[in-house]
Amino acid sequence: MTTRSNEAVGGATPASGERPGGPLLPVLKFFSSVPLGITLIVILFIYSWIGSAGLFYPTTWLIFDKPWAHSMPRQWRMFELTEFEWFHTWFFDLVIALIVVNVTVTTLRRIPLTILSAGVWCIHVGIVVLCLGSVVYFGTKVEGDAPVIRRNIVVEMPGANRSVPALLGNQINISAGRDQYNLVVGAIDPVRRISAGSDETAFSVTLDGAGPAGDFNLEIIDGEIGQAFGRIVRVEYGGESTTLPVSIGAVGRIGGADGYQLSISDIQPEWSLMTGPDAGGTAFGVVVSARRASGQTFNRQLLDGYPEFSEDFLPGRGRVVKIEEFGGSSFFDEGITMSLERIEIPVPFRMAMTPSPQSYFWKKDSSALMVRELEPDEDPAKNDWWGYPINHLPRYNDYVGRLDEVWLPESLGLEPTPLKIDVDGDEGPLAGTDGVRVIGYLRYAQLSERVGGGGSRLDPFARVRVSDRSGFTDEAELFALDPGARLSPSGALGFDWIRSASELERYRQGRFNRRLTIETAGVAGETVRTTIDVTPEMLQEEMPFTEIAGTSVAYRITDAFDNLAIPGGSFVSVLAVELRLPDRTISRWVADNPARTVDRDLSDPSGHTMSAADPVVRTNYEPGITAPVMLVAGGGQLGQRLFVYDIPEPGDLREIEVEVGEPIALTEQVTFELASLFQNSYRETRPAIIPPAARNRDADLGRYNQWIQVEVNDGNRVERHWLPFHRYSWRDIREAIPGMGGYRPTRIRLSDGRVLELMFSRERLKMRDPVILDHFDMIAHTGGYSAGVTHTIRDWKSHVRFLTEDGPSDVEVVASNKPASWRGLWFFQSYWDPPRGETDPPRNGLSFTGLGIGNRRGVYIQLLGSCMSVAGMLYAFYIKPIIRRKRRERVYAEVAAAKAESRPAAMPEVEEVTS
Amino acid sequence: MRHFFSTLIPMFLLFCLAAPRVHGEAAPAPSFADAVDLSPLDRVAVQWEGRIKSFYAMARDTMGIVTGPRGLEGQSQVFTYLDLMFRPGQYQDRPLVYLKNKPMRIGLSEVLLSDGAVTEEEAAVLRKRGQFSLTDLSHPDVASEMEKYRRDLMKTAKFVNMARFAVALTNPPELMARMCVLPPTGADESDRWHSVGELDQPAMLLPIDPEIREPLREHWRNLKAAWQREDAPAVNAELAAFCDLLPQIEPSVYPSQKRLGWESWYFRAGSMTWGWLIYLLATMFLLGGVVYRWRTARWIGLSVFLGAFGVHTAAIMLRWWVSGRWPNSNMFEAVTTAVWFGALLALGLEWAARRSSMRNLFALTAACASMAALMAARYLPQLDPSIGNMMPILHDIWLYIHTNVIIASYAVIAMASVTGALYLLYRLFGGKADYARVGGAAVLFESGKRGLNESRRASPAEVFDGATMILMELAVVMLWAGLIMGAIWADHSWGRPWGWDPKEVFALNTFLIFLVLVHVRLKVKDKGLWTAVLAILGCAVMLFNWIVINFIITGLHSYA
Repeated sequence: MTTRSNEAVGGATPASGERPGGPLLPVLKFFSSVPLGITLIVILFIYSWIGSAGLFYPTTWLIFDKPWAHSMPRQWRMFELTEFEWFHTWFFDLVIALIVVNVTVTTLRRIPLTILSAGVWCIHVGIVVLCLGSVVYFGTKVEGDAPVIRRNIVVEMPGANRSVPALLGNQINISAGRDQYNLVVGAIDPVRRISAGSDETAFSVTLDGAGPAGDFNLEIIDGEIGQAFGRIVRVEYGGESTTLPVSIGAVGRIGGADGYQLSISDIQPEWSLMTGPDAGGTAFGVVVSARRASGQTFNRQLLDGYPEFSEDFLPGRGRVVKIEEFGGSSFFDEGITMSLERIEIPVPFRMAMTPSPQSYFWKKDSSALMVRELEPDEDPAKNDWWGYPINHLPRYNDYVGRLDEVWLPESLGLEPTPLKIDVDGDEGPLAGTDGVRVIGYLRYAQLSERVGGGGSRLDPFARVRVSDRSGFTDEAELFALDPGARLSPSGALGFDWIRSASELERYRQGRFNRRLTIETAGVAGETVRTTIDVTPEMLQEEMPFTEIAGTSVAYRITDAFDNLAIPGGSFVSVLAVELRLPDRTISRWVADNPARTVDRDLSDPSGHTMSAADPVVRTNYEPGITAPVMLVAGGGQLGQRLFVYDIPEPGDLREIEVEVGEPIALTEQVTFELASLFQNSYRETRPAIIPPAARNRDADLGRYNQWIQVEVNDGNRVERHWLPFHRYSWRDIREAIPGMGGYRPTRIRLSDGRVLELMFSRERLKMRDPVILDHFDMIAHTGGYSAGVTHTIRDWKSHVRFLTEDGPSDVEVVASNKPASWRGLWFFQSYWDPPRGETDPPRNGLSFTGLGIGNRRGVYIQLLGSCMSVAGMLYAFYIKPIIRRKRRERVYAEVAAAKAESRPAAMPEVEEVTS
Repeated sequence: MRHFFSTLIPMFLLFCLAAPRVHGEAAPAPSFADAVDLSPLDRVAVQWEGRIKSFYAMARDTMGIVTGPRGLEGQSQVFTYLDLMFRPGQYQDRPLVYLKNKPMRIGLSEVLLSDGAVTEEEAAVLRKRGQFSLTDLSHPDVASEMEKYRRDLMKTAKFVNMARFAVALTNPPELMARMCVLPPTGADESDRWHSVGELDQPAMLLPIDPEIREPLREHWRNLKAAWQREDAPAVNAELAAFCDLLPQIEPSVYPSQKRLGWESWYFRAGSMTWGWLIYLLATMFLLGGVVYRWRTARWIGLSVFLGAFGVHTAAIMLRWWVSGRWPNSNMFEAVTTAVWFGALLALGLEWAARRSSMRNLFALTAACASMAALMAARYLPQLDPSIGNMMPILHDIWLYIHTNVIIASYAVIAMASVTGALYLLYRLFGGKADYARVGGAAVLFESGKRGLNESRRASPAEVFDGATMILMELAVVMLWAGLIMGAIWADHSWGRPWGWDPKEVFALNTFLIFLVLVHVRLKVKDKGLWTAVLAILGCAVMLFNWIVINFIITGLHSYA
């Protein structure tokens, strides 16, 4: 008995005897060697490991105590390959080709095609077919994605038809004779109820309009003509009826002397619905303030489309429904009824919505320079982009020819490494130039304005650092002459530029007093102006009213608030003053920014009811030195010093000479450092490379912060520009979906006068038929969709059509695991537009879909090969042993029969029989 | 040889018995916690994140985020949930918030130590257990240190966000908002459930029959008041009354009380992962039976294995029933279901090899693999047993075909590595360099000196090698078929059958190891040794795929 059957896979035996060969014989022997096959598989294993998982290695000898380092070789500068590219290098292709040759030659030369070796044949042929299928598949593979916006808004009027995508913030300007209308898409409701109580919904947009007759809204429900409307509040009381325009400050009265004084105190364009069938959505809300003759006041909230949610609030006590004495009623006074109603506004145009066709998709992991020439009017929407592929653009490392063209983080050691990738510009708008060359690439950078010293403009600037002992460091850039930038974001640090020793002396004497100026009419009608130095003592006690001489006005200062952070990242300092007039008393918050000065309604205990400052008394407030740490600098002898007030104890004052770069201990824990100081400064904008630790992974994957630097040579001069990456080469800004990389084309003027726009994006491919989004569904699990929680989503469904020459196709549904096929391309559900509150900048949700698009040639060949190999394995592992056993049993039976017939017969070796 | 196994087995047993003690420590719970009866909540349904689950499960999930896998000083998660909601002041200084990232724990404990806020011993506990008090986390130096960690988006920002989310979850209004225990009126199951906080809403916004609503509100208020004064009898009475009323709001949408009860029991029973102990017992007897050919040990081992498989099956089936889907769509489910498939296959192989020298070896390998997997599921915090909804893309028939075939192949690979390891141990201790003359399943069909039938006393090396080859063949077929099925799914799901995703590549790499094994066996002399080494290497690559690729190198399969 021999073991030759084990010499070939699954027990097949080699062909009997070697044929005499010619010069090819050594080659054939080499390629039919099993060790070669094993070596190739091991190479493939190692190569795949390195390309996919990279290298893990210890950084110290303490291999179990310290974390190991991880490096991805394919991302090294010498390679710069994506996963796909790593598995399509010449080396990988060579290994696969050698495996195919090895398998083919071995099978033909060493494995005879018998019933027993059919399994091995099947496996090997299957592998070869799979490889051939993969050559077809990967050789022709095109894969990308495209956003499909749901609707365009179309304006119809004689001679001025136009359309814009229905995306939040898009604007439409319309001229009708001498009348100008401006409309902005203010809200999108993808599931607007057609009517109250109905379950039927439709996509709708609401535009905020401004026209010759004032502001209005225009709502367009999909499939209908838009209706322009305004809103009013209708009030009914004691048989009387009145209306108020929806405008803050609008006032009215109802019910005579014993009735109510009414005013619109607040407008909430996007009031969040917390409950009810549309919970999670928003509604237009208005708050009406109603005051009885007795002085009793309540506020009523009204929501457009949701009269059932109307309810009253009592100042200082909150919702009436929560107050025990009202027994669960939502209203303070059920005798007065209010409703928010719409009134029709006539406009000289018609608006409707139509589907927004998408004709292109953008190729995955590609790079392209998009260029277009602008018409003399420089309207970008008139010409489309021409795409120039950028081949072999790096992906993972930064390449900068001159380091002074970017802002470098201190931690990043980068050597100048210029790129030289020529963009083939023989055709299209680049024809006629001497070409464009990509000379730089940044993987993750953001445009940043930074300050440098020099120039002729006095603009004192200081960069300061405050660190605590835990290593936390905060850096602030302060401009002494800019009121909005002379304080650090925390308000703790200030910077002032002084011109004389007397100014310095004021700092040495302590913090400056606050200063209030009051201006009002005197008894004789003249203007009386009074300036009051607000001392700290004035704020510590409750002061009596002080009469302003020559007027009938008295004042009392009650409080001061310095550097209150307000939305938008700025600060306001406020002095609280009470002004006693002959007929009333005003409580006023006088802000250092006069636009923010307001009067408070003293009848509202909550203090939330505000109105614009009463012009009878004009006030102005100048805060003193309010930051506890002031950097005071001046030219020449004045030098620079730090004044530290009230630290560590109230009343403490320290003056410290400061040198640039020398840390100063403010307390035991906090250190101050003046990093740089310039008397004259300029601001310069460059891409700033973001340190790897501060990079957002999703943004990195989305390539949102990539930049290339291009050099445009028009024959006469050479210009260099940094271009940010665009996921999609939008045709104009109105197409650019908010939050998807923006729209930042770069405009250049060539020596011949032509104006070009450049954009760094991906290769754009045209589909045979444009696709339109009929509608989009998000199907949620029990309890509906919760913002940001993907687990509450069951599926997404894009209902799309294709615009063929014969008109739109039938609806095709694209959902998870359910692609649609159309003329050689498959369409997949790729991404979606989540509802409001989840994106920055905000979107309304469900107003577009993202489709993955690709071809799949060769898939069935791959499938055939795969199935053959599986069938071969099953045969070789499980069928063949049964056949062999049956054959052997048959032989045994024959031998037994021969013995029984007493014929001498030797027991044959099983392998000889079965082979 | 026998001496080796004689010393190995008791050591192995001692190690395994000691293991649960590491996590078994628990501080005595306060008396009020002992006195309150929270069992009525086991049958209360909560709607949260698109699923109706038992209150116990929701409280466990929520508090798991806050306190981490260890819980709070042995206190039940449900008690902690309610106590935090009703008496938040009690928790300011308790070790409540779990920080997962170890470097962060070390950094923060050092900050507290340097400031004198904690002693050296307390800092060591913080480093080890990672549970910080709210007071610790609100310490200014800790806050600035956290801010520093937050700025490192690559390494620590995720963990800071997790910690901040955990702190936010300790807020009573947040806990109240999660208590969506009031079913919607009307028979629409897709409607949102209401939280107990909404009981104070106007009747129009929370349309519940006033005859139920008012008592509900009353019981809830009384419950809160009784809890705050630690009146356990009153708490028990009010809670029972409150829970009894909930199904009456809308009986048509309220889930079966039986299902809720079983769901609570399932989690209370640690997802039944204690089944690893039974597998351990089976392993010991089967090992004894295989090594010493001791007939009694074989039968006891096989019986215990069947018992362990029964418990394992019950756990899988219960989870299936409770979640409403076959459990294979997260890491915990994949690990526990994979080895269940392995055990099932082992039973089939045991039947096929019942007359061969390999009998009980397959049960042994499955017991080892299942024991390891269930231990991992029980003690590794990364394997979260929470039941959630599946990602939309997983709703496909191929989830049940591709995933099950792949994870079953992984189980078989793990089993093959056990026989491979036994072979190597045998050789290490002087065993003969032998191998199965006929590889794979064929060995079961062969008789005489080529087979491993009872008719011949085969050497242990031959038996181990024969079993490895049988398992290896199964693994190769299943892994390759699973890869192809995955490609078919990916083709219509992601638009490409093969995307060189790390998970795909490493499944292929595992297959390549076995491909090398098949071909190496044709050429080398010491076939058994090479087979054993490559079987173990294949298992290592498979584990690398499951652990490193899943947790460190994320890709399209990040949910798998």
